Amino acid sequence: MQKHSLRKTLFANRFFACGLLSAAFLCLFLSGCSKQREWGVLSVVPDSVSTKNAKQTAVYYVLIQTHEPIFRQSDGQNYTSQILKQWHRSVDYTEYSFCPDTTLKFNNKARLTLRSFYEHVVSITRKYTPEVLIGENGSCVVVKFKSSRKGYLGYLTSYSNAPTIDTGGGIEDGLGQFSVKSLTADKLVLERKTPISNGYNKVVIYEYKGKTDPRLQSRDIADFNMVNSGDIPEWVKKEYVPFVNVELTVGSLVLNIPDRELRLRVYNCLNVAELRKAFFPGPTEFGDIGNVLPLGVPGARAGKPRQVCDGKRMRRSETGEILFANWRRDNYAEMAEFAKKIRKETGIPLTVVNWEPAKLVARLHKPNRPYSLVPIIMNTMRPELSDFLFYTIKDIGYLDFEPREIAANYKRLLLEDNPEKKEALAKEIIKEFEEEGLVLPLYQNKKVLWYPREIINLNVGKGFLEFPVVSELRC
Amino acid sequence: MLKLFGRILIYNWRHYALAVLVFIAFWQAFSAFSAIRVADDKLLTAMRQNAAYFEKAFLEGDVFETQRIMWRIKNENIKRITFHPVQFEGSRWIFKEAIVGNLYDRPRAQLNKSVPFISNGAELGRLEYVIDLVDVNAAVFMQNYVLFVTVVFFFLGLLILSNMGAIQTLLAIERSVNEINSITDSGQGDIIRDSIKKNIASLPAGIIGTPFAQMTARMSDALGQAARLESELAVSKAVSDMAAQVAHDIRSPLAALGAAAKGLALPEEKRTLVDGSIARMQGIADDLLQRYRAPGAAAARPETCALAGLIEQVLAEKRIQHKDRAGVKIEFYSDADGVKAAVDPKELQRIISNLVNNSVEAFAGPGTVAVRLAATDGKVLIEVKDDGKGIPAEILGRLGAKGETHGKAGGTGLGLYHARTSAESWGGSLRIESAPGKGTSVIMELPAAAKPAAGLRAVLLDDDLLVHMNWRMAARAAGADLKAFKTAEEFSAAAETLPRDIPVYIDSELGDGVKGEDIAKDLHGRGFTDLTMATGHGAEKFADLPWLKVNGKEPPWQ
Repeated sequence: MQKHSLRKTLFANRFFACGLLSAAFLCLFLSGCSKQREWGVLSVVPDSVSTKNAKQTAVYYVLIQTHEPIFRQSDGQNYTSQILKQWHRSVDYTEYSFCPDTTLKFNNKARLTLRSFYEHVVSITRKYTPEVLIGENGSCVVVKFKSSRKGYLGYLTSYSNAPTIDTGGGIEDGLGQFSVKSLTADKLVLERKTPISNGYNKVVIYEYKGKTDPRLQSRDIADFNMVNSGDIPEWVKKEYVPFVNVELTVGSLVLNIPDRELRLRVYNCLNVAELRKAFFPGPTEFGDIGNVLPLGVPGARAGKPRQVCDGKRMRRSETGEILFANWRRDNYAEMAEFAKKIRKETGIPLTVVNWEPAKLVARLHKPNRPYSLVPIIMNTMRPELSDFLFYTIKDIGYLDFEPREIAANYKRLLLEDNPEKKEALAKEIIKEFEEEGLVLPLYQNKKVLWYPREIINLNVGKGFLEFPVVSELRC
Repeated sequence: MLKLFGRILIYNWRHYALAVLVFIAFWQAFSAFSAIRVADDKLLTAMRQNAAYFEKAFLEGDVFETQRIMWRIKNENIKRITFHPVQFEGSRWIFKEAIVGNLYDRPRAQLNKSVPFISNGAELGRLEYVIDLVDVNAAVFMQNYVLFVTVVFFFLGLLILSNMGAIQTLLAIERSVNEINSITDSGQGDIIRDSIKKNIASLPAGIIGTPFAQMTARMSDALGQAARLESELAVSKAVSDMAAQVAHDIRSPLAALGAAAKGLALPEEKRTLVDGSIARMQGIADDLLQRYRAPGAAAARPETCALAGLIEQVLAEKRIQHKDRAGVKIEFYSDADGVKAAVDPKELQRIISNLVNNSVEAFAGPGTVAVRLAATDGKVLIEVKDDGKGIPAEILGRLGAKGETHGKAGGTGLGLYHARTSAESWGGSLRIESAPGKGTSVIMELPAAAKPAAGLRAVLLDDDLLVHMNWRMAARAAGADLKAFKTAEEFSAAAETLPRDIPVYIDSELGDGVKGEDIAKDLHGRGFTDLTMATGHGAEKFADLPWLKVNGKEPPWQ
């Protein structure tokens, strides 16, 4: 009797059971994003959205959503394109052929055409080098260089070289998934051109107003990674998924000391760890670097800088004051203590001078700089060698003197297209930095990034996860 | 064809669905398991192939190169790899761990595994990797869905092909049944057999000769025979009805003739002849009624009769019938002239007649048949004894059973059988005593009837004036008071003045479509307690009126 009843019950409820199983099966695959499907960001709202300002962090964040570069190198090795139907190059890197996907749109009014793509390629390639022939061949654009241009594809990965059109009001539209809907002083809104069901259809960047910003407690904010690490609220650390990311941010100490011997003495005898601790008080994780290049940039070296301190104390009369330009406001006591210690241990007559950041910035590139030592934090979006090696270059550097050899190498570096040769030149420059004691590498920044748990395709480890491409996120 | 496919699906969809689901589930599980195994193997192989490069990057502290190598090691079914480096003096590694892959976790649906990363004998650290079972299943499903779709159609084809024969047979059977039903409904039962034979021939070849087909053939024979029997039954019923009607109609004139003959001055022998002839004709009519009575119908209700008179009557006829048999004597001895028993008088006379005939026909030469009537202890004994050759013991035991006969050419064995059954139906019994060379004695024992109440008053309702005349004569002879009515109206007018216990005799067919049984019902409802149908119809016709007695046309005082 009981077996019969069970069988009868199961049979009678077979459709109900099947429905439940199907729903459960689908639930494994289906889930939902946050209700509004809005990617909220606390950051700096840029004044404009233009590829010309791609080096600005806030603009860069927006360009990643609205524009699509001609090439991407997501894994750091292979080039892929989302806007070319096909492309090829000659083995010797002299000739390139790009066939654009003309179904792509900038907006409802403008689409990518062969002609517009051709004009864009001409515009950006002539900046790269004037010695080039560019033409159309069928549905493709052909670029011919006189000599091998190995770095051309890398050049095309830059968002500053992404196809774009000016829609007026400082807004440019690109071939990315989002377009600018509105821009105000407090808020920038991006909307997805074609909404999807399992992703974010809107990006809203709110102006971050500091520690007291009430949006720090808002669940509408998905990206808190643009605010200071110390300001990130505790609830984010509990509810979001953490990921330790290596940033292209290095801190280096520039030694504006014309006396080589003194400079070398200071270079070799300053304790990097203690200096870091004094200059950046509070709990901070520092990554040691062996030279001024951050890990991830060709030529970088992990570890600590080579310092050889002979231990001899300097006599005061041998030198004047070594002025340390302190542009932070939260470390006066620590820096004073550090200076005292250095004096005591090495005899280096270190004097800390506290500066208003704006005032110091105004003096950084002008002759007769009022400092001997100044910490420079270099942050870039892309691993460009030249961005980390210009400390000693006249007019753009931070020294009152210019080592000629470094200047020459830097100039060659800027003109060099071959990545291997660039790296070799970079290493020469770095060697000069070390041998001359010009720039002391202090640290490379490691930052914990926090992302919402609902994202099911948050892939890390492919190059730099500086900022997420929101259009690719799924939840 | 669509009907065929539809029928196949209707009967088998559950099994089909189950088979498909089981296959898909099994294949999916197997594929997922294989994918996981392959993912493991690919990972380990890639680790071995890239170990040297990984070590170089690791020792240089090159995080990004390390991550690039980890991406190469990772394959599509590995969701995430985490490298936990060993700690050693002089390490340049700036991270506690390096992660590549998807950070999204499904804790209940993922496998976490850990392997050491070894390069040329040195353990660089541990590689933890995560396989997401949902992702693997989804990927495997996307690889297999074409196969699954193919399987769905393949199983469907298999289902159809394997069941086509059976369903075709089923449809053929249904067609046969439908045809038989329509033939039966249309009354053409005689062609059912041909129809079935035709349908059998149209069944698939594999079915012919099987027990099913044999059963169907036997069924068609049975149906044919049933149709024939039904036809014969219809004929028999028609004959039966006609015979009954003839018997009914002839009994009244015979009763009148019998009554009239009694008043004639005839020589003894001629009187006997006339009486015997009339009796014979009455017997023939009775026989017709008896033989063509519907099978299973209730036998005629027994009535209390004076047995001596009945026996004498039939013996007189027998004597005349067998007067040409030299030396054959038929004698009657009665120790209880007035004894009565509840019997069917005609049936009793028939039994006596048959028994006497049996005895006489068994004589090789002269012989004596002695019929004795006796009463003792509330029982009545009717014995028919002869001094013939007797019956062997081995046959004696079987006599009385239906079909058993002895010594009588052309005997059907039914006479003794009917005698036994009739005796038993009257509450009595019949036994046969015989020995070879010593004659045979058939003894019927019946319960004696209680003395009947005085029945010297009676009412008759019959539209036949001959019957009226016969009954008046009998009533005068018996000294009874008879009120006779011809029509229902006359009777109804007088009924109110009649005592409710007076015996009322009603003819069944009173003319102008009036039915005597309807009058009887009316009288019964008005309180008359002694109602009898005086009719030639059998008692079975009035079986639904249990309070109604049935008698023949003869007056009750004979």
